[in-house]
Amino acid sequence: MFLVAFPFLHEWPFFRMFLSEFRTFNATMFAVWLLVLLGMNLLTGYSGQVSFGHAALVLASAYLTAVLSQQYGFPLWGAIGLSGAATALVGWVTIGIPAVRLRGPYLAIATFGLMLAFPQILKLNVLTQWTQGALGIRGGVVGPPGFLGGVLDGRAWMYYVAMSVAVAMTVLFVNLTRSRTGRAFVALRDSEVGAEQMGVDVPRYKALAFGVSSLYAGIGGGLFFAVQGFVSPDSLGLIDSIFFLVAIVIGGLGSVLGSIVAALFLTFQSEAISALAGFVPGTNNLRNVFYGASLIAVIVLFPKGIAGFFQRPLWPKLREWNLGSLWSSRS
Amino acid sequence: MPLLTVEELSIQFGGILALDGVGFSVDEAEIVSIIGPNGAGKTTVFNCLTRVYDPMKGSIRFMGRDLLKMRPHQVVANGVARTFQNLELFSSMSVLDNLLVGQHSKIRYSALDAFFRLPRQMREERKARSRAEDTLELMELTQVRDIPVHALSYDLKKRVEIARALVSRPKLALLDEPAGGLTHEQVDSIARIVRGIRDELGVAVLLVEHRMGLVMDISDRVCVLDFGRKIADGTPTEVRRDPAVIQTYLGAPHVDA
Ligand SMILES: Nc1ncnc2c1ncn2[C@@H]1O[C@H](COP(=O)(O)OP(=O)(O)OP(=O)(O)O)[C@@H](O)[C@H]1O
Ligand SMILES: [Mg+2]
Repeated sequence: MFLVAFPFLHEWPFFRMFLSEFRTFNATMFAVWLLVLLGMNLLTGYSGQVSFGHAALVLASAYLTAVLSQQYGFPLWGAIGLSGAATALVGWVTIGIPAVRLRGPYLAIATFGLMLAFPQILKLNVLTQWTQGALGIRGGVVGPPGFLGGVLDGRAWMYYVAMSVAVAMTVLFVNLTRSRTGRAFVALRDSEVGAEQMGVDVPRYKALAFGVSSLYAGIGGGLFFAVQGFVSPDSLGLIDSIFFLVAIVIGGLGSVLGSIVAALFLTFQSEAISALAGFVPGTNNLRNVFYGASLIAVIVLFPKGIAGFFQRPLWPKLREWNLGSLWSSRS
Repeated sequence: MPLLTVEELSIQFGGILALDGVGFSVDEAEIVSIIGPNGAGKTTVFNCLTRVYDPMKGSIRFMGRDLLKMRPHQVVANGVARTFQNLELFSSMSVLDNLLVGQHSKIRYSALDAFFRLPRQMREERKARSRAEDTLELMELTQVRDIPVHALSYDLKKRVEIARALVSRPKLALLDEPAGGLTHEQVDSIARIVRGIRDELGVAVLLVEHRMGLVMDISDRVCVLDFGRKIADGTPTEVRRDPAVIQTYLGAPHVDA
């Protein structure tokens, strides 16, 4: 209900006080980041593989969507779907399968290399024909279909599309993580040899995690282009990859709620930090100090992420009941 | 014909022969123990059987199949399940989820079925859950089914290890020191469990154990390793009287328990 009414809330007298149309754009970007971060969390939080290259996947898919829709006349939504599928395939086959041999810091370095290289590749002269070099690609105006034309403006329409996709893919995500496949991801993170000996084809599942993660990054990337209406080699870079990682750690690794918190974090971080710095006059150039300090504070206060803090299950209580005695008291 | 036949098994680590021509067999619904001092190569036998290690030479036949032709994740689907000496549980997952991963190769649906919760997924999950519940009950773990494994006491973790191996309904269970680090009472309960595995489930057990009391009490046959070689093989009574075994264990600290 809330999600459906959101784009109109700012028109109501009460909500107008603190909501503007700009919030609709925020909410749309939240949906985009949610997709990206669900993918990131699947890979890192669930299957335990660290990637510094996720922004490159998002960027690649944004470009593919841009090229397909602006130069080859694909309908925008079709282009996003295709780009998502292509990104998934690339992530699965060309990144996931080789990455199986790499562990921990080595995987981080390899994906870091990919991240460094990719924006430069987009600027290569041989590709300018498609990528427009450093200029980037601009999208056309996206409006709602005719029958909704009177009700929704372009911004609200985009919100509905992005939010519906995000909600639907969150549901699919939950399904996956509660299945044999999702359990295998977590199992191989907790104990690789344990998982393997229980029948999990570890290399195959590691690559699959990359594939599914890339699907989410890809759909997120396609929507990124649609929402922003523009993409250039500098739209996303290494710093964004790092922020993705920071966001899911702060939100909560290995949890859907954690990904939602992470997406909120990513959507509002710069605004929140500006506001924080704004409290103290003359500290605007200390923004990064505030930012760094808040990150450290959150990590210290919520070692399992913010979602982890709110999802504390019953078990600490149960442990107090000394379950060890179950063992010997029965015969 | 025996269920498991191992012949001439040899493996080397950095110039040291960890196993040197080891051979033994396990019959159906039989408890066979492998004993020997620390570093004798007992765990290495398990790791060769389940394909974690590649032996240099030797053969491993299980129910007429060549285990050496399999990849590590295929072994359990062929009816050999194991536990680990140093717990390899999925510590962030609940006890129930550990038992569901234990059935990974038994549960048959694809990632797509999972994504869309297709009927096949629901059906298979229901079956897997009910098998897990059965095993939890058998192992007296029902009360901790939803607790993350890392929060359990050591003895319960040990028990989850065994449950996770049994839930795949193997023909042969490899138990690596299930009583290691447990109190005397807990060891008694392990003895009951292992007997139950054989007598009630009809599963053969290959047991690695240092607790001699337990080994001599429940084993049908015992195989003794020392420095990667088999030095004796026979019923508990025979092995106990074997001069080579007595020599190996003379003054060794484990014989007592
Ligand atoms: N992966 C490995 N790399 C190098 N050496 C190994 C490896 N695995 C086992 N070894 C060596 O092989 C020998 C046998 O080890 P193993 O773990 O099988 O002993 P064990 O009989 O299980 O001993 P314990 O009773 O202490 O568990 C030891 O010398 C050990 O150091
Ligand atoms: Mg051992």
